[in-house]
Amino acid sequence: MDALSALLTTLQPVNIFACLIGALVGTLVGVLPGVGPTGTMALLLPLTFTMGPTAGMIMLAGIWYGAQYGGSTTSILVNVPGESASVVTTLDGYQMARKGRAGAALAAAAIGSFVAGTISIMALQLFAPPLAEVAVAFGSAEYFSIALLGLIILSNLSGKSYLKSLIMALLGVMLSTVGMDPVAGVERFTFNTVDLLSGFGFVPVVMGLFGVAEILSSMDEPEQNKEVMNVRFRELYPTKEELRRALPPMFRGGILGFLVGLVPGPAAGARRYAGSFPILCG
Amino acid sequence: MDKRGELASSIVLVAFGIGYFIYATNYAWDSLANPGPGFLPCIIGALFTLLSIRLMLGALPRKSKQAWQEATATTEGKDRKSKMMPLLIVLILIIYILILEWAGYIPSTFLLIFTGIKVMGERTWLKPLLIATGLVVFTYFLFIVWLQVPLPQGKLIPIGGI
Repeated sequence: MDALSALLTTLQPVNIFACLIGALVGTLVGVLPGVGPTGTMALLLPLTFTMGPTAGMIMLAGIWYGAQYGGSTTSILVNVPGESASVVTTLDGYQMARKGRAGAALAAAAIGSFVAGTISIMALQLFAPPLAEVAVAFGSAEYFSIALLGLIILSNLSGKSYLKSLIMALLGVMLSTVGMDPVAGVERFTFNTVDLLSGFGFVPVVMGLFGVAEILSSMDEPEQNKEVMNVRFRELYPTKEELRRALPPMFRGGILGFLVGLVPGPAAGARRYAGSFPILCG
Repeated sequence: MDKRGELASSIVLVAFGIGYFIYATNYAWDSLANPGPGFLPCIIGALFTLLSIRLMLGALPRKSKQAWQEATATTEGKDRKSKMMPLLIVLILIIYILILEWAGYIPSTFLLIFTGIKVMGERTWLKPLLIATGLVVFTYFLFIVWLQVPLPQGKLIPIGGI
C-alpha cells in the first residue's frame, strides 16, 4: 500500500508539473557539453528551494532525467557526448543522424530511456533487497572482468583494424594511470603537477576526443555539409520498422541496466556498453 | 590514412610507449600476489610499445621502392592549405589553453571562435565576429547572470567572475 500511496502523491498535478519543469530545464542545461546530470542538479538546486520537499525531490528527479537526455541530444546531432553515459549514444545515434534519421534517433533515445527507466524502477521497487546482497558481493575480480570485457568490446567497436583500436584502448589505460595510484597512494606520471594528482577527468578527455576529432575530420572533407541536422517535428516519429527494431534493445537495456546499475561504481557508462554489446555482436 | 602518415604516427606511438615504459620502471613492481604501483604501467607500456612496433612494421615499405612511392603518391594531389588546416586548429587550441588563465574565459573564447572560423576558410569578417560575440554573450548571461557560476577570470580583462 505504501507504494500505491506514493504513486498517487506523485501523480498530483503540482508534482507532475514540477517534474515537467525539471525535465525541461534539465534538458536545456544538460545539452551544454561537460555539464552532466550531477552538475545540472547542482546548478539548478536553487530552483527547488521554494517548493515543498516532495515537489522538490520530484523536480530534481526530472532534472536528472532531462540532463541525461540532453547529453544524448548532442551525441546524436553533433557527435559530442555531453557526459560520460552518453558516449555510447554517439556510436549509433550519430550514424543515424548522418543518414538523415536524426529525429528518429532522438525519439528512440527518449522512448528507450522511458521504457528502460520504467522497467528498472519497477524492478528496483520489487527486488532491491535480495539483489543488493549480490551487488555488495562484487569484488575486485568481478570489477576486473567487467573492465576487461569493456576493453574487448571496445577493440571490436571501431571496426577496421583490431591492432589500431587495441593500441588506442591501451593508450586510454595509460592515460588512466596518471595521478594518485588508488592502491598504494603513489603519485604516477604527475611530474610534480598538482592538477594531475587526481588524474585526467573522464568528461574532458571524451569531449576533446570526440569534439576535436569531429572538427578535424569535418575539415578534411569540406564539401560535405556537416552542420547541425535540421529536425522537423514530423520526422521525430520513428518508422514502424525502426520501432520494431528498437523495441527488443529497449527491454534488454532496461533489464541489463537494472542489473548493472545495482553494482556500486561508475555504472551509467558501463551499463550502456553492456547494453550495446548484443547489438554489436548481432 | 595513407601509408606515410601511418608510418609517421606509429613512430610517434613507439617513442611514446618507450618513454612511458622507461618512466614506469621508476615505480615499485613488488610481487605478482601483491602488485605495486609500477605493475600495471609496466605491462601496459610494454604491450603498447610492442603493438605500436607491429603497426610500424606493417606501414614500412614492403615490396619495391616503386610500389611504396605509388602508395604514398596518392595524397600529393591535395592542396597544401587543407593539409595545414588541422595543424592550425590544433595550434589555436593550444594557444587558447595557454592564454586562458591570463586573459580569462570570455576574451580568450571570443578569440578562439573568431580565429577558428577564419582559419576554416570564412572570407567575410562580419559572420565570425557575430558568431563569436553571440556565443560569448550567451555564455555570459547563462552562466554568470542566470546560474551564477564563475568562469575563469583573467588578469587582463577582469570579466567572468561574480
